[in-house]
Amino acid sequence: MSCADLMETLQMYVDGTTDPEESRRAEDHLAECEDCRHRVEGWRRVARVVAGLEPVMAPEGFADRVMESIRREAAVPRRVAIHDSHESLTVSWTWAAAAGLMIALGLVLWLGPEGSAAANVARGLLQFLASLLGR
Amino acid sequence: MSVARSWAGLPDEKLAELSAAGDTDAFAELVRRYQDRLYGLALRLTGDRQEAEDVAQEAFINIFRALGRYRRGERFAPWAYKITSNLCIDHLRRRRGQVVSLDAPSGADGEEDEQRPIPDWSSSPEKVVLEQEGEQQVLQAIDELPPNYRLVVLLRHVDDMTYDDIAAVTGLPLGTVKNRLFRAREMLRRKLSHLRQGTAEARSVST
Ligand SMILES: [Zn+2]
Repeated sequence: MSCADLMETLQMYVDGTTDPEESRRAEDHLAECEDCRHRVEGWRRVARVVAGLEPVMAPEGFADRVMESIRREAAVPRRVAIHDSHESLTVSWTWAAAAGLMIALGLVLWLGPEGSAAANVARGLLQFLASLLGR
Repeated sequence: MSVARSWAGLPDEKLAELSAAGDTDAFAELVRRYQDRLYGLALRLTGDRQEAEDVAQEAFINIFRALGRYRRGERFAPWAYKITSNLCIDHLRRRRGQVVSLDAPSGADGEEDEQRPIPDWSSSPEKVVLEQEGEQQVLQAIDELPPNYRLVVLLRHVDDMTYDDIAAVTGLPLGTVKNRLFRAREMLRRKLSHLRQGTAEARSVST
């Protein structure tokens, strides 16, 4: 078997994930191939060196800072927030519509002929709306 | 700080379920358990302490927000690592612009990159002074790997993950994981071949 065919097996051998049959094949090859012995020793060295790096610790207060933003976010349940803003939006639209209608009726009263049917209807509606908004 | 509840016996997965149900104290325990590992991954991928802190913080917030999609029984560690490493890779992509490929080696072997900043790996400033030169050279060699290769090497050797876990974190097929690991090891083996024995190695052998 060529070196290239055994690369995956050799790598798994270094990682300790070969079954007994694969381990035997890897060991047989290593016994007779200096290139692969050299390679496998190099990989083991890489593993030792990388695993042996100084352990990293999160900076002082890191977890507290994370939890501060998490708790801030968790304190405002999203669904309620959306519902609230939606409701206040609906309310403000009602107010805007009512105000618009009152201005329109006011114009009819102001411009329309005194005592006409349109003016009377407008005056009645205006009083009704004003009582609604004034509640 | 008074500890009202003891989390000691609870597995990460149980804490994740409690967190998903809105228990922020359970999530605080997950942050405690994972802060060094995820910050460490971010530091070793970005090479910058401030950026690593920002990325790790963002990662925990993303993990918290994603808990609604966390499947009951799914292993927490690969899931959390996946969110964190994706974020790191995004940051690197944004930082380095579209010019540098995440898969291609960042410089020809043996050549120095023109404007490569010196990576800031240390977790505390005073340690720089005490740092053994071997450790700096190993870190430099890792930093020179393309980020996607650096990631598999770190997951394998720093976090001691299996091929399957690395596949889960990276979203790559198993064959691609093995191939990347093989190529990353070969790159590192060559870079480290002229580094004299001892230094960083001595510590891992003696411990
Ligand atoms: Zn061979």
